[in-house]
Formats: sequence, C-alpha cells, structure tokens
Amino acid sequence: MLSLDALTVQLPDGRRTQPLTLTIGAGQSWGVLGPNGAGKTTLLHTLAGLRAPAGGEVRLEGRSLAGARRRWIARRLALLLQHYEDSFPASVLQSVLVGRHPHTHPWRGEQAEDRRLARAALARLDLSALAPRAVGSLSGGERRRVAMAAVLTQQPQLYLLDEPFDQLDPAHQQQVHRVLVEERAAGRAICLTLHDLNMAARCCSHLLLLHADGRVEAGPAPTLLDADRLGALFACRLHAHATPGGLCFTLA
Amino acid sequence: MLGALLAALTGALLLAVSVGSVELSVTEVLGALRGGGEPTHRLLIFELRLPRALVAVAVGGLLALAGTLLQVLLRNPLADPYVLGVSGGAAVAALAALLAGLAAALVPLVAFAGALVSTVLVFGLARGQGAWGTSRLLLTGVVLATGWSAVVTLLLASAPPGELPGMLYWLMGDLAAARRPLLPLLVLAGCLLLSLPLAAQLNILGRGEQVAAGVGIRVGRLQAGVYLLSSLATGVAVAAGGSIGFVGLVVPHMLRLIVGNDQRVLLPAAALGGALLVLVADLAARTVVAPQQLPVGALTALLGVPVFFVLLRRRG
Repeated sequence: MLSLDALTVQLPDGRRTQPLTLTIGAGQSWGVLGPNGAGKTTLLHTLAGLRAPAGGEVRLEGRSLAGARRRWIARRLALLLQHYEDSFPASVLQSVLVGRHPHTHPWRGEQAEDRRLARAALARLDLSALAPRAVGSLSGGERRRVAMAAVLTQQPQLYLLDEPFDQLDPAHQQQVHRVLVEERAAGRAICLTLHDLNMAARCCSHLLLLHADGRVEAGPAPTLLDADRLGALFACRLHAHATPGGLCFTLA
Repeated sequence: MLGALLAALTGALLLAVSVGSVELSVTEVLGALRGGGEPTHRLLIFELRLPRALVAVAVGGLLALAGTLLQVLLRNPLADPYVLGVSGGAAVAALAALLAGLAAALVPLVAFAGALVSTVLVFGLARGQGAWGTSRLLLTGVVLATGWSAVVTLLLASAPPGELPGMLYWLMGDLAAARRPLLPLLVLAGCLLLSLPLAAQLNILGRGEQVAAGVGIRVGRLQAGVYLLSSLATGVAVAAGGSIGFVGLVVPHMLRLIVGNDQRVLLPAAALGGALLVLVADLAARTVVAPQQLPVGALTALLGVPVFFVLLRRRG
C-alpha cells in the first residue's frame, strides 16, 4: 500500500535519519516509537506528503507522492495531526465534515450521504451527543476524538495517526483501540506514533524504532518488543512482564 | 439573510439618491429612474448622487471582501487590508501617481500594484524558515503599515500646499469626488465570482494549512490566489475612495456573528454588509453637517464601532 524506498527525513536540528526501506501492507499496524525529538512527527508528515523527503521516495499504490495530486492522496490516506488550532468557532459536526472534502464535488458541497458518514464516525467514538457543540467548548480528550472522527470520515485506505491516544482517558483509549482493530480487519492499514509501550504491544503488528542518533530499526512487533532493545531506545531500564493481556513493560 | 441585506442595500441606495441639498421624493426619484422627471433632477441623480452612491457600494464591498479573505488566510481575526499595510501600499502608490500627474484612469492600476507590492513584501519578509507564523505576518504588516504612513507624510510634506486639503481628505477616505463607479463595481463582481468557488476550501484553510493539505487542498496555490484577489480588491477600493479603515476589519466580524463562519455565505454577506456600511456612512458624511462634508472614513468607524459592540454583547 505505502512503500518507503531508502527514505530519509531531515530533523529540525539538521540531522538525518538512516535510510528506511519498508512496505506498509493492508491490515498491518505500524507503531513508530522513539524518544522526544527523534523525528516521529516529521516522518509521519513525510509519509503524508506534507513535506518532501530529505532523500529516497515514498510511493502510495506504486505512485510517487512527489508527483501525485493532493486530492488523489487525500482519498487514500488520512493524517491525524498532533495539534489542531481553532481560530474561528465551528461545531463538532462541521469539524468532522472536513474529512469529506476530498470526496465532495467542489461545486456541490457536502450531501446528505456525507453528513450520514460524519454522524456514523461520531457515533463510533461516542461523540453523537456532542455533534452540535462548539469545538472550542470541548475538553482536550474530546477534541482529540473529534479529530479522530474527522480522519475516519475521510475513509482512507491508510491512516497516519500522530499520537491518537494522547489525552484520552483509559475507556476512550480502549475505544479508539477497538476502532483501529475494526479498521484493520476491514483491510485498512495504520501507521501511528505513540509513547505507551503497553499500548504498542497491544495494537501494533509491526514497529519502527527511531533512535535519537538517527538509527532506525523496523520489523514485526514480536521481535522488536524486547525490554533491552526498548530500554536502549529510550535510554532507560525497562522490565517486560508476561500478562494475560500481552506483554507489559515497567520502568526498572 | 442575504436577501435582507440586499433589500437594505436597495433601500439605502434609494435614500442616498433622494437625500441631499435638494430633497427628492420617492416618486420623483422613481420617475427619473424610469427616464422621466425634471432634467435638473435627472442631472442630480445620474451625474452626482447615483455614481457616488455606487462607488460607495463598490468600495465597501471590496474592502469587506478583502478583509474576510485576509482573516481566513491568516487565521487571525485582526487581519485586514488596513492593519496589514496593504491599503497603505495602495495609498502611497495612488498618492505618488496623483502627484506625478498620472492620468486618473491609471490610478487604480497603480494602486493595485502598490497593494500587491505591499502584500508580497509582508509575506516575503514574514516567511521565515518554511512556515509562516501568523503573528509574525501580522507584526510585519503592522510595521509595514507604519512605514507606509511615514512615506505618506513625506509625500504630503512635499506636496503643493493648494492640494493638501484634498489629499488629506482622500487619505481619510473621501467619496466627494467619486464619479466613476463602473470599474470598482466590475472588480467587485469579478472578485466575488472568483472567490465563491474557493469558499469551501477557505473554510478548511481556516483550520490550518496542514489540515487543508491533509484533505487534498493545494494550499500554496489557494493562498497565492487569495493574496492576489485581496490585493486587487484593496487596490481598486483605495484608488476609488481613499483609505477607508475599519470596514475590512469589522464588517466580516459583524457578519460572522450573524451568519456564522461558512465562507460560502460569509463572503457575499460581507460584501453586501460592507457596501451598506460605506453607503450609509457616506450618506451621513454629506448630510449631517451639510453643506460641509466629512471624510467618510471617520464615519464608517463612528457607525461601525457601536454596532459591533451591540452584536458582540448579544452573541457573546
């Protein structure tokens, strides 16, 4: 679905990551792990085509992102940003309808079907009651879920999610996790950044480790989910415990 | 809402052609508009009052449209052609053209060039490493506006004394000499027609450049188009009516409080609202202390400030 061919990204301090070559396939869920400032967000934005690679190439369905039209990309790939600004007031439903933009005719605007999809996405994230509310009046976690609902409404084949669990309470983390499982089961692919190693153990089929010095490691999650390896990544000591719910990491 | 604004604008236009040193009744005005009536009335309406009223309509519409576009573009409610120095650039260019004795027909073109230079300067200077911070843009605009007003002072100081009062009035926004509504009206219609198809994309651009790019909008192209449109609108408005402040800043806010922030409705509503405000302000400017005339720019602020506060209290 999305292939990275010797891709390197440039970090704000001028360093570059090692070249990355991998393919994110249908039904897979790639977790991007790394310390603060290692380039996780930069990588995600590069995969979305919002910034040019420092080297190498990103191909979506075999086509280079560099030559593709934004609208074509947006119909196949949706990006959840880490931060949203709301300078002007808007309702929750309006915010979620933004996700329909790549699918709506430029002259006609959104139709009943678009509104139905937006409401369905809101319902999946337990937000139906908030639909008429102003986004500015919501809590941080609620806003995060509204942004996630907008991404679902875009109906992409590939989700690029920058910290989708950030600011969510445990119940809603679980809910977003469930939604991601459903999307994967429907054959869609996911690439997400996160800091919660236990969540990574639960929801990722593959991992991409971005080290502070630009080194990268990529592969199936079971081989990379190792206390020593992750400890080296985050420069701290970790213990792994086997629990009925899967691996559980604690600080030593 | 658009219908109500249009009706109010039509009513204000009728009022503007009937009120003045010679009061005309509605039947007299309608008679003259239908091609009859007294020759002096016809002269009064078609040579003086109607052209002036139509220029007021066009200038108000253009300034409010430019303000609405710039506010979305910068995602900042403080943006407007005046604050950003765009109308300052247009004013300097137009004043210089007038001082150099350039043909009046060329002044709008020069003013547009001045507005465009100013826009390019603001966005060029504020463009740091990649992304434009909107506060950085605003600050650059404010500084540039101050610079332009210094240039205006220099131009005024070197101007022949006989022309000073006229130039000062023009700077404050003055429609007393406005006789040619055709070009500003055409430009207003053109800018509206060009910006309406962009309205849905502008709605999303208002949420941030990355959000817009993420749902398939070609952000760079859209921004360039909107800069160009707002510069054109500002340049032509300044050339026709001088630098009338406040309209571009506050009219979009007023209408946003009434019709919401959907640009598909807001853009035409702001154009109508701006037209109405400047038309009424100009009517007041030439009647309240008649036969003395006031600069319309002072009146737009005097009328607009209380209206804005009332709206803010009601909706806040």
